[in-house]
This record gives sequence, C-alpha cells and structure tokens, in this order.
Amino acid sequence: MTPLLIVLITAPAVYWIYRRGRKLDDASTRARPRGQSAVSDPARLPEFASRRDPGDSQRSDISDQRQQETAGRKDADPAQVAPQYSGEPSDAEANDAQSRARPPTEDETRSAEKVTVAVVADGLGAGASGELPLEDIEPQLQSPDHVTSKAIFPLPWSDSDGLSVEFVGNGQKLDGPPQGDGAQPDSPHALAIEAEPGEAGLLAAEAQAQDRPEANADRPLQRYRPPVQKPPRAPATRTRTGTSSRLSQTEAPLEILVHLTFDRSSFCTIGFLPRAVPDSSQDVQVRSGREVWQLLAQEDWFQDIQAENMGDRLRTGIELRGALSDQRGVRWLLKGREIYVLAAHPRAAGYVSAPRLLLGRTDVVLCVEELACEVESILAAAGCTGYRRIGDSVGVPRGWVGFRGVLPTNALALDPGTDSFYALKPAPDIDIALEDGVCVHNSAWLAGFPPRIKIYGQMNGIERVLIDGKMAARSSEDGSLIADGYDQIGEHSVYCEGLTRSRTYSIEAPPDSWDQWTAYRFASANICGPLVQLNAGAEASRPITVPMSNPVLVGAAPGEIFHCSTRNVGRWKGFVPFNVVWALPAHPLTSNKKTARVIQFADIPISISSDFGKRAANWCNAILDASRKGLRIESDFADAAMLWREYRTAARRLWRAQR
Amino acid sequence: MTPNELLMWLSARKEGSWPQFRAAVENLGLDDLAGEGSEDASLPLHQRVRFNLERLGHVEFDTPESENGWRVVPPALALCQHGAAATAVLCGARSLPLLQRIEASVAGMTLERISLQDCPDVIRVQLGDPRSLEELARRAGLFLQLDTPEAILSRLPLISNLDQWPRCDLPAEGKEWDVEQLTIERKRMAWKSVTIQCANAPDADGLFRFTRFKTPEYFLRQEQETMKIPGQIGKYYVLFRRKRRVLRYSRQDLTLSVPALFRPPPLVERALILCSGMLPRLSDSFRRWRLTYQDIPEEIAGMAAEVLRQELL
Repeated sequence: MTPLLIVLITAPAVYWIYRRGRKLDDASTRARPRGQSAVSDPARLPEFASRRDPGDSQRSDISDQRQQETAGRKDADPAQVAPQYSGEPSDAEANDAQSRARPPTEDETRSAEKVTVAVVADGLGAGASGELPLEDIEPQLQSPDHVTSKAIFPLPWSDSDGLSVEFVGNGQKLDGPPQGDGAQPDSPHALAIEAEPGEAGLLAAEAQAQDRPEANADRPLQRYRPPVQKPPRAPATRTRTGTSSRLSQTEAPLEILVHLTFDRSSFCTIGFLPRAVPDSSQDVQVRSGREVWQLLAQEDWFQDIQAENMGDRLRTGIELRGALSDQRGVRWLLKGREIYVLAAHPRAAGYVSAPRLLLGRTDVVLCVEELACEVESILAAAGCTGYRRIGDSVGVPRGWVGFRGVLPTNALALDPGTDSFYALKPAPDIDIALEDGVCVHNSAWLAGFPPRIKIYGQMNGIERVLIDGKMAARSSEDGSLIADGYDQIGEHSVYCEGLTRSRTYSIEAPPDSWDQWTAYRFASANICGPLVQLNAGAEASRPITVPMSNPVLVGAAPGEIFHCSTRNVGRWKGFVPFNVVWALPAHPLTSNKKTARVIQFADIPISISSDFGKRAANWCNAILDASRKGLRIESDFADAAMLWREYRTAARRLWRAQR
Repeated sequence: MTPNELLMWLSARKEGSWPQFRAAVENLGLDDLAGEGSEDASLPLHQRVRFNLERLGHVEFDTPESENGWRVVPPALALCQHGAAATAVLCGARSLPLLQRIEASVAGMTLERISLQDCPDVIRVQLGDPRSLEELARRAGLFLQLDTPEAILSRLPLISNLDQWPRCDLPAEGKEWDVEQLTIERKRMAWKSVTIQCANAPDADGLFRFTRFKTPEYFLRQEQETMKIPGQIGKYYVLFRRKRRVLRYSRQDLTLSVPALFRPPPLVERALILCSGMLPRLSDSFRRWRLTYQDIPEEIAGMAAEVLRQELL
C-alpha cells in the first residue's frame, strides 16, 4: 500500500518540478548556502527529509528528490523512514484544517509563516539554526496553505542523532504530527528540524559565517507582511511542553526596530535598534553579511547601529547574527518593508518603529518613493493634515520619502485579506498612554515628574475618563488629562467609562537620604564625588598658604619641619601634618636680608621633647640659620620677637645637648 | 527627559548598571552633537553626559563599588575659597524636596543656577563667610567638603608614580584594532597611526592607543615594560619624560588652560572644575583647541601642576 501511495504522490510532483524548471533551480540555489551553513553532515539531509510528515507528501517528495540529488543518494526507502507518530490534533485544529482545504489565494500562500530549518548533527545551537525565507524554500517546504499549528515531537532516531522534527505554525507547537485532515497532502504544516545546542556546532557555524560573509549578504531576507484580516477563532487548547518552550526561545529571532531621530536642524538620522537579549546585559559582536558591529547593551535595546546603504536595508530587511559569551547563538531580524510608521517611545529618544498609526498620536511615516502618492492619499483619508514631506536632503535614505507630523484623526477600515497599507490605517481602538515625566521603573513615576496621560483612538465610545474616580480634564498646556491629585504620591488609575479600558500607575517619593561611600581609595584618603574621607591616622587640618619664598615650615615641637614642594607659583598651598608656627626661607644664610623674612603663622609656645633625631636636627638648623642671618619677622601677633627668641634659644640648647 | 531630570532619575535609583544609564540618556532627547576639537567630539552622547556627570562630582562610574555601573554621590556642597569669598557647588544626588530645602536655607547668600550643555544645571552658592555654609548644609541635609580642590589634589598620587598600574602585554593581533602612538615633535603633539607590529616591536617606547569598537585602551611602553594605564595619565607621563610643558596659567584671568588633547585626569579635572562649578571652555586658537578652566586660584593651579608633574607656563 505504501509504495503505491508513494508512486501516486511522486508522479505529480515530478511533473510539477518539470514545469517549474529553472525557477525551481534558482530557488534552490538561493536556499543552498543557508542549508550548507546549517547542516554539518549533508548526507543526513535526505534522511531527515524522508522522515517528515508522510501526509505532507507533495512537499515531502519534492524536497526529498531535490535533496537526494544534492546528496547523490536516491535509494531512500520511504517505508523504512516512515515516522512513528502519536497524538491527535484538537477539534479546533481539525476544523481549522478542514476550513482551509480550499485552494489558497495568493495572499494566503504568501502569508504562510516562515519555516525553521536548523539541522545539525552533533550539536547545533540556535545561533546556527535559522529561518529560511519563504521564497528561499519554495516550493520544497512551503505549505500551500496557511500554517495553523506548530508541532514538535521526538523522532524515533532523534536520540541517536540529536535531531527532532518540528511542525511549525501560528506560534504553537503540537505534541505530535497532525492526523486526519492535518495529514492530507495539503496539510497546513510546515516542517522544522532542530537539534540540541552545542558549543562545537556553534563555533563551526560561527566560523563558517565569518569565512563566508557573502553567504549571508546575498541571501534575501524575509519580507514583512501585514497581518491577514480574518474573523477571530477559538484559540488552540494545546499546552506547551517545557521542551518546546526552550526550543522556541532559541530559535526565535529577536526584534530589530527602526530608530529615527531629528537634530536641531531637523536633519534626521535613521538606525536600527536590536532588542536586548533576555537575561543578558552583555555587549555582543554581530555580523550581517560583510558588516560587523559591536552591539552595546542598554536596558531594552542595544545601542542603535547604522548600516551601509540604509535605504536598501530598510527595503529588504536586515539579519544580525552573533554569539553570547556562553556560546549561545543569537539572531536578530528585521523583515523588509516598504512602509514604516515610527512613533515616539517612552524609553527612547526620537521615533521608533510601531505597527501602525494611532489616532491622535503624531508619528513619522517612511515609505518608498514609488508609494508616496498612495501613502499621501491614505493619510488624507485618515484626516492627516499639516504633515511635512521630507527627503534625502534632510537625511532620509535615497529611494525613501518621509512624512513628519502625521496626526491621524479618522479610523480607516482595512481591506479584506491582507491590506498592504495596514500600517497607515489607524484602528478605532482606545489606548491610554502614559508619556514623559520621570519613570523610575515600570509604571512608577517620580514625585514632581508625573506622566502625561493621553488617550489615543476613537473617542466616540467613551462616556467619560476618570482618574482615581474623578472626572479628568484636559490640561491647557499640552492637552493631556489631569485630575485633582493625579500627581500625588500613591497608586492611581485611569479609566475610560463606556469602553472599560483602564490603566494604572504610581507616583513614588524620591529617597530622603543617600549613604556616603567610597569610589576611589588612596593611601591617606578615600574620595567620592567632592567628598574626601581621611583614612585612620591621617591628620585632619586646613590647608596652609605660604609664599614660595618661605618654603620651610616649622612647628612647635622639634622634628616638626616640612619642606614645601617646588612650584613655579607665587604662593604654595597644601596640607601640613602639624600646626605651622614659622615659615622660613629655604636658604636663609644666602638670602637677601632686605627682602627675606621669617613669617609667623601661629602663637604657639615651644614644646621641648627629649627625642632627637634627624628631623629634630633639621628643625634646629632651620631656626638657627634664620636666626644667624637676623631676618626680619613678619607677624600679626603681639610679642612675635619674644616668641622667636624662645624658639632660637630652645633650638640652640637642643643642638648643643646633642653634640 | 532633560539632563536635570536625568539626575533626578539617577538620584531616585541611587545606583544601576551601565546599560540602564545608557538607555536613560537615549531618552534625553538631546542632539548628539559635540563641539569640534575636543576629544569629546568623537564620543557618543551617553559618554559625554557620563563624563560631565563624573567631572561635576554627581555620579561615579565603574568604580570598585559600582563595577560596570554607576552610583550616585550623596548630595554635598563643595566649597572653594577665593580669597575672602567662597563658592560652594552642589554636587551629587538631587531631589525636588532637597532643592526646596536648599532654596529655603540660603538667606543672605547668592544662589545661582546655570544651565550647561549635556549636563544638569550647575547650582552654586556664593558667600562671604564660609562658616555660614556649615549651617546651610546642616539645615538642608547636605554633606559639606571644605577646601575641595585642595583636599582632592593633595591626596592624589603624582602621575610619575607608575607602580599602581598593572603590567600586561599589548594586543598582538586582530584586524579590528586601530593602533596609534602619541607623538611629540617640536610643537606638534598628536596621535599617529602605527601598525600593530610597530607597537609590539621590542624597542617600541611611548604611549599607544588601541581602539576597537570606539573603545580605546592605552598602553605605556618603556624600558621593556608594558603597562595598561588611563589615557590622560599616560599622556602626562609622556610629557613629563619629554619635559614638555602644556599647562598655561593666567594670573590676570585666573584661568588655567591646556591643549584639548591633554585634558587632565578625571580627579584632577574635578578639582579644577569645582573651583567654579563650571565645565572647561573649549576655545580655538590658530586651529589649536584648548580647554580653559575658570576661577582657578594660583595655589590650586600649582597643586594641579605638581600632581601632573608639570610646570606652569
């Protein structure tokens, strides 16, 4: 029975390949470099391909055949590699699959989600795994229908090879492959194969990427696609396993936002803001094609980066790859698009890419030149007036046009299916925004710097807005909503009556005290800001200023002598470890008696001690030399001459006693 | 968020990580423009704001107690004596209640608030009798540092003392490194590009700057030894060895100026800035950029020169 089925399925597939001819070859050529970078053992490719969902026969066989050709293996026995499935799809999924058994529209075909292919033997982490662009893998793996579920389950041989097969769709992972409708040839399941992350594989993939940057550079990236408009359906009730959660974390690319800032002269700068890696604050070196950046970590994002030829990057998208210090691979992806809406963000300066325009919010729109007329007509329909068109003369990338100050006032209905201008058509939804102020953390603002409360969206349905149960009024300054006590310390809530939309925030008091701490440690003191904390044993004193003509400072006790350092200034200032009584010339015996003098700083009687060392000898010599020269005494104290005589007598007595 | 609000935010958080700080600066909404000529010109906005906060003694970055992060300094008045008068600069953490307490306590003194680019307002008190400052600090709940410039400068080791800097090897390979050497030829002092092999040559001598991803590292090579050293200290050490003088003091204007290339090390610069509370002025004289520090008493200029092993011009 199985061989018959294979023949029945293979024959139309071969005919289909023949029809596609060269197009298929081109597509496979584009996909090949990526496949090579992800597959450590190419010989395993046909094997994994043949072990996929048997119900997905058309896709399976086409890809099987191509991969067999690639690997030079055409002897795969489907009977031997038939997967051992278990598990049943939910009713919701079965119904969903049935409802989509009809032929797909062009939009639906294109909207099939990206297919993750990460094949590794002996270890390949998320860093080396990747999502093939839909165009790249078409038609081998692309489902002709919507991908509606995502399944991951162990393969019989996954233990030995470290491989597993993953059915991807709608962000869900199933416990097993689809059965029933889901196993039909037009099954809405894409295929993904993953492996356990491993250091060797990561390093190999990284090295490979570095050796052949052109492999990434030439590969087209996924295009952004606006969400498809369809009626809501019941969410799937499958529960995720711990394994699937872990795998989805490693495979999912992190977001890249577009960041636009205007300087004072209204010149704009556009960059990319890669989303911060969860649970990591380290800087990461990343690569995209031949360009390399060092991503500098910030709280929510890395510091924005500028790429060569931003216009092309915006249009085609950008993918960054790097490895964390723990060898985890990490990937960022911005899908290319032709229209960007950029909105102010509470955590970033300037404007950051947003899904779509919001009623009442002033945004910036970037679009490719070809769409400028259509964009302007839609903006007009949305009630946008007074915006300004900007071009490459103010920094907008070539081939792009910007619209600054776009303030929509009318909600616009979306076209059925996929609306190419989804981003430009504001929804009537209500959004309570807390902007500006000083946000200390999460939804807590600093007292004195409360948030500006704004409501965006269609206000028709709102009966009234309440802040802490009090009717809100519009501020005359900026039109934000205020109410009595909305900026006082404590918890606050904003409530839109009629639409049951609410949001809470709190105002926190600033700290009342800050501890003294040590930033820099030195031998005699610690410094923190302007504060100098002396270490134990260091004498606290006020600085003394002396003329550089009198650099020898003596105190009241023998041995208290200090020589000021040489500076080419008129006055020396510094700290001396004793109370200075006299300032003497450096060489009194050779000094000019008319100008040289002894300066008295304090009126402290001499304190004689019996200790006599080198410092005491120097102390005696300095006083006796100044005395022998008969230098004039400069003092503001009474009886300066008498005190000087006492010092001279004591120095002479001490000197003689030690001879 | 303005720079004043940034300091309020830092004060409320007290301490945090470097990414948090950078994200907060991103939110400042300031132009990422710096004055030409200064070494700061090549720095991104968050680095310029960081250095200004550090120079004014508001926040300390990447110290042993705040490794890879920042911590706000407790609020303090930094006093500098100018003859009979004195100037006290408010440093460290700020909050609205604290500022209100200060304003309520400055009776008889002059309170000034001066706006500067890329940093919080300078708040300083001019007073005749420094003793009244103690009462102000007590009432407002502030720390008080008397003779701040002298206190800081007198505790710093001389730049010629190289014992404290770790010995290490130069990076020997790597395409991304941008290697330069500080060259002093007659009146010309500049960074000159060299190859990584030249820097690693056995007889190489001098200060080398290795830059990768806009992050410079400085290495001083002399007498077969290589040590990793802060850039500004390395520059002044080279000047000291070559006996070149770059500090120019004007007794008339009470200004101390240096070539922009030779910005003093952080703590020396903090001492100079706290003489007035004002950041140095960048000026262009025949295409030679100079930093000028204001209201510097001659004694302080002498102390700074001593620490930097310089003689004043």
